[in-house]
Amino acid sequence: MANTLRLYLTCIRNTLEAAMCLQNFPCQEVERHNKPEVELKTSPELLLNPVLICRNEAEKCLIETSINSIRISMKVKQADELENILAKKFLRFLSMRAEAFQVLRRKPVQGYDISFLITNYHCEDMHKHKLIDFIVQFMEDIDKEISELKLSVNTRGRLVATEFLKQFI
Amino acid sequence: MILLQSPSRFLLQILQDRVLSGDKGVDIDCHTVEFDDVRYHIQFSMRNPKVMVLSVALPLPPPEAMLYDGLPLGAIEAIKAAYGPVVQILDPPKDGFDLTMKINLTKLPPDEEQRNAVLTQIASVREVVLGAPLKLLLKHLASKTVAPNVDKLVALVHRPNESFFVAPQADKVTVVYPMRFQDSIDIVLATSFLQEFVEARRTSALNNAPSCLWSPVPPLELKGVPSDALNANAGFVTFVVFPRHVEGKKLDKTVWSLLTFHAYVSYHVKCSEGFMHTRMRRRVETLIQALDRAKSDAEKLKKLVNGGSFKRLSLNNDGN
Amino acid sequence: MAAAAIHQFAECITCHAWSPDHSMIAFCPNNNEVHIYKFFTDKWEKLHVLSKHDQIVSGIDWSRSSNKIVTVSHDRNSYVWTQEGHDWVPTLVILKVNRAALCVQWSPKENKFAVGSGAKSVCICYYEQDNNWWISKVVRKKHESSVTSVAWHPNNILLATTSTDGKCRVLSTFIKGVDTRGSHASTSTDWKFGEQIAQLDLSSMWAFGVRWSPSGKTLAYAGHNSMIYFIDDVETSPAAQNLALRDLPLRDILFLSERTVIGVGFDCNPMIFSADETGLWSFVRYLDERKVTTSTSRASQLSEAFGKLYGQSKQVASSDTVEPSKPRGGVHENCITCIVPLRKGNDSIVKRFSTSGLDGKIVVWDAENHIDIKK
Repeated sequence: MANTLRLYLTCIRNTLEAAMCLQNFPCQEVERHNKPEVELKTSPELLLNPVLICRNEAEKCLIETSINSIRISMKVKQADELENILAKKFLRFLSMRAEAFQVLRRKPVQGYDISFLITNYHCEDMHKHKLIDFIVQFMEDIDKEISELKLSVNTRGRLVATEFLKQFI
Repeated sequence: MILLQSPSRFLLQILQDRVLSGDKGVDIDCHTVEFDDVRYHIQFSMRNPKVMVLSVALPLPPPEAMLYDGLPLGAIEAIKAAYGPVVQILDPPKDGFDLTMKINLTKLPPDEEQRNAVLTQIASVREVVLGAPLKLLLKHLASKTVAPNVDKLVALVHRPNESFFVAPQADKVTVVYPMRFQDSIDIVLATSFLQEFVEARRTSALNNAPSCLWSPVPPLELKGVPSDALNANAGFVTFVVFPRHVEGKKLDKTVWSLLTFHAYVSYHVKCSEGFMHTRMRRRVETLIQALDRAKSDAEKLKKLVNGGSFKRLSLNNDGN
Repeated sequence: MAAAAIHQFAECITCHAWSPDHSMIAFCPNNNEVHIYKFFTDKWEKLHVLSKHDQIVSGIDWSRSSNKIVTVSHDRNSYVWTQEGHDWVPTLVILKVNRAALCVQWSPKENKFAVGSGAKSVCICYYEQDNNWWISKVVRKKHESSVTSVAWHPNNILLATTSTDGKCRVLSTFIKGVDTRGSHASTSTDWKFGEQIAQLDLSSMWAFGVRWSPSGKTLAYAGHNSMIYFIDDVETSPAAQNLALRDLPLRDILFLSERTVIGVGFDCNPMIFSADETGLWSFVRYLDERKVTTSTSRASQLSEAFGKLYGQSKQVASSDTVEPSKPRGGVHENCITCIVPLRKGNDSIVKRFSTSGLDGKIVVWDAENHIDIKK
């Protein structure tokens, strides 16, 4: 299980190395504007082929690149009802802190749980390799967080149940 | 504190303080609300220092759970039995409350330990009053009989507009709880918890506990109950209680545990959510720090930029 | 060490240019201004701030003979700055484009300059003595996307352009009254303004950084698909060589001599290319010794990733460990976006050059003593 995660993340990291070659690029459609082309999508020649990396049927990562911006969208594992709400709660928590995160897109791309929008301006402010480290760590952390939350819920449930039932003996 | 305690700490504190204050002290007029809409109002005046007045409001009962004179079946007898001459029920109760009692402080036992026991019992008025019908049914179970003139299925109020169901028989009593939660997250967490109850019961250490089942649909015992009383978004929990669970001193504890089962689960669901919130907040902070590390050099640069120094690396001088 | 001087001028630098005697440097610190620093004894001091543009300055060029600075910006404007006493006086040039200007270069004779724009056009500006202003002639309908870089052929007439439509074009910028039909041999005698001499469709990806070799015989440019292209005799019978880069793409290039080229870009480390006696180009090495070398499996993973982005499929090389991303380059910590020669007198070889990038540094490199420059 851990093995597929490593492969998945390595593949994502390598793709990001290649895809995150961004530059400042003024809008061709509207004068004096400068917009992330990956969001605008009005000039097809400025977009690259989107790359979809799948860990399994449920978890995947979509990387869409353009000349000045890149969008990374993730679908997080949700094996059961509990993982489902834990993921939703955690991701909503993050989306509300989108400003602090800068590179987080407020709303995920349709069909995904969370999306990042990285522009050339982020690459000017931050070191690319550290940005990539951050994204990969983020993915690892979400995975870990949901697993640990689920475990804590089950552990607490067991404890609560045991204490209750012990009273009758 | 994992388990819910029967005596209200609020009431107990006030009672003990009053008793310890003796001739000194101030007037008291305090209101409080407890889980599931139980309200207390306790009063004391220095003009009448021998008496305290305690009023209790109970959760609104749903249509299927009948009350007798505004109180659960057997409540008045239970109060008399629990408090004896120390307490006198006032009729009618104060406006907005279901029960008002006059506590005669002079009738408290002089011995400190015994006195504290009585005060604790008074502070457990919730258990005494709300738990009265259940205690009645379970007492009969202890003697392997069934209470006379009692339906096959009894609805008892435990939360505002909600009841749980008791099916008393001579050799066992089946208790069924429709579990309801407001929040969609609460529902999923609670369902997870409730399944742990079933799993925990299966372990050998808890063999002697009441048997415990969970079902997403109303169990057979609830056949005939009107459907509004049966919507339960977190399923139905069934406990089967046997005589050994209610003999002797165990009776009161069993009554309290069963009376507050839903509250117990709700409480822990909320604790769980609080814990998750804290964890997530911490995780988010860690991630923000990771992002900040990516920026840190740029921030340091801001300080270097103004008028800076020139770093020479070779001996070739002029800018040419 | 090849880096002769390193200076941190700002947090991020868009582009830069040197004064004719190399005592002053003009650069844009990623905003709407141009800062001019002069070197005094042992440190650089800010001398002027040129602030007429109201958006980022995307191109600066400083003419060597006439000492004029031309700047272009995303605000669609261009200014020619002339030094009068202690001040730099701007002259607005109406480019006649309605999108951002992206790049600029003075022609060899400095009587014209070319501007590439986001309006998918190129402007050739020349000075009209009578009216004392610069006039822009626009070449429209030749490019299908933004023009990212421009380069003048030594004959002062041919201009090479690169665009985000992936193509490199060579156009004639002959202007009656400004240019004279020279005595140099050319196959085409009918060079009208704006005529397309050649169109190179070698790259499937956006093209950047076009440059001519000193004689004009060879043309080189970079493709975003991590390629560099060398084309000989583009006007007559073009012969192209495609060279695949090992890692990340280039943003700009410079000919040090006929047979030596430096490429700079996302690897944050200048790359040396040279051609052998037969004219075959190849990658020599990275210039900065401090580069961390990557393993071959990693390089092949990267190329596989590139393949996916650009629509080609390649073999997967799997790995068990997730290596943390290694910082690239050495002296430059972020992408290098601009490379400028520091020419001495009439030297045909460039012995020193400077680079600037997103890390806000300008680095002067000593090519003469560290690179085997093939003439």
